[in-house]
Amino acid sequence: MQASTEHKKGFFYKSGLYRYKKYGALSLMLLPVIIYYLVFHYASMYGAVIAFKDYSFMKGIIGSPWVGLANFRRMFMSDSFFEVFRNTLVISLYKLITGFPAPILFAILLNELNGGRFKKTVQTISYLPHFLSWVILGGMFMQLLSLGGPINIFLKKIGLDPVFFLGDVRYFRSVLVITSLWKSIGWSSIIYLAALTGIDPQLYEAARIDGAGKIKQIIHITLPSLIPVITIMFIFSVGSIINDDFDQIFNLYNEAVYSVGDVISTYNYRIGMINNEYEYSTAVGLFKNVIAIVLIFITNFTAKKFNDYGIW
Amino acid sequence: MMNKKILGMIGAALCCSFALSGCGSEKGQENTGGKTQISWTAWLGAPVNENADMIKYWNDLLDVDIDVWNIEAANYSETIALKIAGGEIPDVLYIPTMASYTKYAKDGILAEFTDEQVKEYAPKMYETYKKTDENALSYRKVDGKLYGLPALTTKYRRPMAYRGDWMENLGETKLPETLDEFETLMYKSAKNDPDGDGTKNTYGLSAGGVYAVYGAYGIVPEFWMENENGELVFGGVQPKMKEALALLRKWYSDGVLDPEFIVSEKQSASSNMSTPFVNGKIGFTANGEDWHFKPKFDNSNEAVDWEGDNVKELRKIDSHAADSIRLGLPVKGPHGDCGLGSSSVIGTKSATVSFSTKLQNDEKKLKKIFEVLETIGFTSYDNLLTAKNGIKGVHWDFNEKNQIVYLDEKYQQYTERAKIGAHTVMTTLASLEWNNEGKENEVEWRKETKADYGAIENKLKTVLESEGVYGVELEKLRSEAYISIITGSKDLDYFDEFVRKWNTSGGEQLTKEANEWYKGIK
Repeated sequence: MQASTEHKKGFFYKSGLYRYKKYGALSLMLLPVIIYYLVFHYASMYGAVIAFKDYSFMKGIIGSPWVGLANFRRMFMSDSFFEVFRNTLVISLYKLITGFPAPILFAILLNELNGGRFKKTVQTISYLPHFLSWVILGGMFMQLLSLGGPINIFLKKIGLDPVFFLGDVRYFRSVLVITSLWKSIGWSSIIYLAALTGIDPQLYEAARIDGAGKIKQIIHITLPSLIPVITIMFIFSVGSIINDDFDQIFNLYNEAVYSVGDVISTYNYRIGMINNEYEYSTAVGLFKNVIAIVLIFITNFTAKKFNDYGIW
Repeated sequence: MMNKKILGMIGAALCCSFALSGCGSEKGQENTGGKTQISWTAWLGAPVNENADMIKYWNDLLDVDIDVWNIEAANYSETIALKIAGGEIPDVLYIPTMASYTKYAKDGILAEFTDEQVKEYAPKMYETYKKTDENALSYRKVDGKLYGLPALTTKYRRPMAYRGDWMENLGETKLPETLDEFETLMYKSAKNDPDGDGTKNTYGLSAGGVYAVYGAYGIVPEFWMENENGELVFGGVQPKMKEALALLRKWYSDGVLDPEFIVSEKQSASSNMSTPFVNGKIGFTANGEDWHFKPKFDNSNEAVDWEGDNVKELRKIDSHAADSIRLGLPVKGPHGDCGLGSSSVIGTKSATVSFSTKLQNDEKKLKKIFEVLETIGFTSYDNLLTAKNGIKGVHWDFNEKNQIVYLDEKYQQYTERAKIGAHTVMTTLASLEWNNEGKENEVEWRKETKADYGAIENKLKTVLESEGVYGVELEKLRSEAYISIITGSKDLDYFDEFVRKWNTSGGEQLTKEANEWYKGIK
């Protein structure tokens, strides 16, 4: 029956378009979302052309004269560009190495907890920092990590020299990585916890009967079941390596740690403060996005080589 | 992150521009009663009410119809940029930063006018500007043309604030006059336990205090100054700066300079309270401006006077310490220099008021707007008082001591005054002539503390053409160089290398532009 209709309708059928017609009402409900994306996410992308222009309010986006790659040239020529570019990548890489596996581990550990109330409490506590803004946390960490702060008082008590964590190039990046880990670990583990609840308990039961211990169960059942989620999350994380956490760094850094902590977005912000140079910041943004999309493609391609999961 | 926002902004602007401009014109046609309609922007403490008392007051008095655009002060620059991108320009455009002003002027969205027009339309305003500074209007010229009127702000020098109770504990009574005396006091503050708690937990000075040292060498590192040849040079790269840094380097290694001096003393960007000073970590600061250390006067122009932030906050911890704060004078350095950074009456930090380019060919309306601005801010103390506080007898009145008393207590809050269209809504441009009216105590206090003594102003009062290109890079270079020299991570001689780098990374170009501008002004 189906085969014969396919034959008749040809391309229309093969492409699957017929299903939109068949489920007309549902397709219609999708329309607002599509329009939303077209108008607010695709149409506005047009503004990115100002990266290649000398933008002026009066002349508008279309009327402003083209300047070719001048804005990009300026970006690459500035003395600090490679420093901030390197800082961005290094800090993001550190964050990826620690911040990516940590929530997975945390989710698995939480999952192994039996007590309902204790588990819920731990979970809630671990989510809380996610809801605090870096403006507040920045002030908090500055107090905690200052020379007269509790951490240094403790160091002095055990006979160590006090450390100026936020003003010392040797410690600043570690502070960024650890505070970011602390803030995000609970929240990022939610998706893994959700995936964990989807694992069929019969698998565990069968494993137990075969004599597998907890560790074996984790290695052979839990982790393999998480692989699809882990893959997709990893692709996303790699894609965002180029995106630094402006709020965090801006609230924690100072002039003494520029050499290790100044990143693309903070540097750009300071340029924006002096002059409203939209075209320049657009150029930097475009550059970042191009890198991000290339990274996503590469990771997606590699992930698909090794297993069958990917974004598309 | 920034970029996404901007793209979004521009996209939204594109989408909305048609709709918005449509709305705008409709609104304009609604109530034409022969009155000149003026759309108005300003720094607002709170959104102005519909039919606000004071707007009505000025509308009736001046026969105009003012429409205040309620733009939140915190997001003013972004919001106004969005509106302008959408083709909406208010008749009276408040521009908070000099950089935006220059950009708008170059982009052609501002009406150009001449000194003669100001003189003709608003003679009293013109006179005030001329009296303030012969070049007052020239400072706002972009490529030789005038597009805006600068706001006037009282000039304040950095303070030299000492903890009097600490000095007492250290057996010092005299405030330092020379850098040597200052050094002695700083060492004692760090070494001799001035707070008497038996532990070494104090320092002489921190991030703000270093400016006192720079000043003793006649330098404000961020400012441009005139050299002996009458040319502008950048303070931060002068040879004397090396000596100042050498001294601070010594103080740092001796534990006199707070190791956390690289973190600003300010509690937050918008606060002028010095955290280490209030917390009793340092005994001296030059952070902020002298009025942040102002005591409360019984006899001021308002019945309820206020205390400077630092005094107020310190009082919460230690009332005796708060009362003991002493203000000194800038100290004299080894070369006889003596000074301290100060704000300017008209500087690059002062706001500008400009007019929409639509008024370029509407001389009648432009004239009317000048009349409004002049009447409110430049003609009489009464008008200015009304504009700032409300109508006498309705919102406030004088008490028997000729002090302002708000008839409804809520008006003590500036936000409440902003809501009725008073406070800063109409007074972006105002003469400073009557600023001290009724404030005899404060005037006396400033005279006693010699609050203007040794004030060093930035000689450069414009935004240089290439500042957007080199500014951030040079600032980064400078702050990193200073910190690494003071903390000892680089040799003192690195200063010479830093000066060379500063010059080749754009400093030379800025100096050239600064001097071109300076010649044009002189």
